[in-house]
Amino acid sequence: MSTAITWLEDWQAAQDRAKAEDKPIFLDFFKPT
Amino acid sequence: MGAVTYPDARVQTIINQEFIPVKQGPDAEPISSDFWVRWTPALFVCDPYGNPHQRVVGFLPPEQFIPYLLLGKGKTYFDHRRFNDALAAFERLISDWPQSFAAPQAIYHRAVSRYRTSEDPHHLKIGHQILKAEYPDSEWAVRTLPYRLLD
Repeated sequence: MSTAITWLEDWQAAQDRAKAEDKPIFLDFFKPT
Repeated sequence: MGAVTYPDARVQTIINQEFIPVKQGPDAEPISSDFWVRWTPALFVCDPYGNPHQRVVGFLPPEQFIPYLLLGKGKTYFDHRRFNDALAAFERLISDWPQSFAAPQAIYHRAVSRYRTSEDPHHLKIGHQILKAEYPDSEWAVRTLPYRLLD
């Protein structure tokens, strides 16, 4: 099922954005079924 | 998580507004090895430098997942000595999700954060009293036992 969460896949880009927006990162390791 | 928790509107709101959400496959390297992922779901709250401050393995429904997000947010700020920001996250968790698995730990960290901002050890004793009264079977009630001896 698709969700409205706007996931990133680039780890470095996520850190850059987290620094810029002063937000923590939520990281999910998922196994597609 | 994808079938039940992530479609929940409350979950989507808090993740999109308060976190930078990242998905990685369990075999993605080097990040999977860096985080010692051996089973999924493996969920982490990290600081902007990629350091993990909260780790949860296993499924959580929205009513348990959101509190763990708030706990992770608070612990991230706490570890960076942003105690007022940490307190805001812990207070919100305790107020909005008092029956959640994460609530007792939030009370523990709230007490410690209050102590760190005030240097008043009375906050530690109050934390133990709350845990003993409201969550007597929690491990966090045990972890605060020494604080009962404080003046």
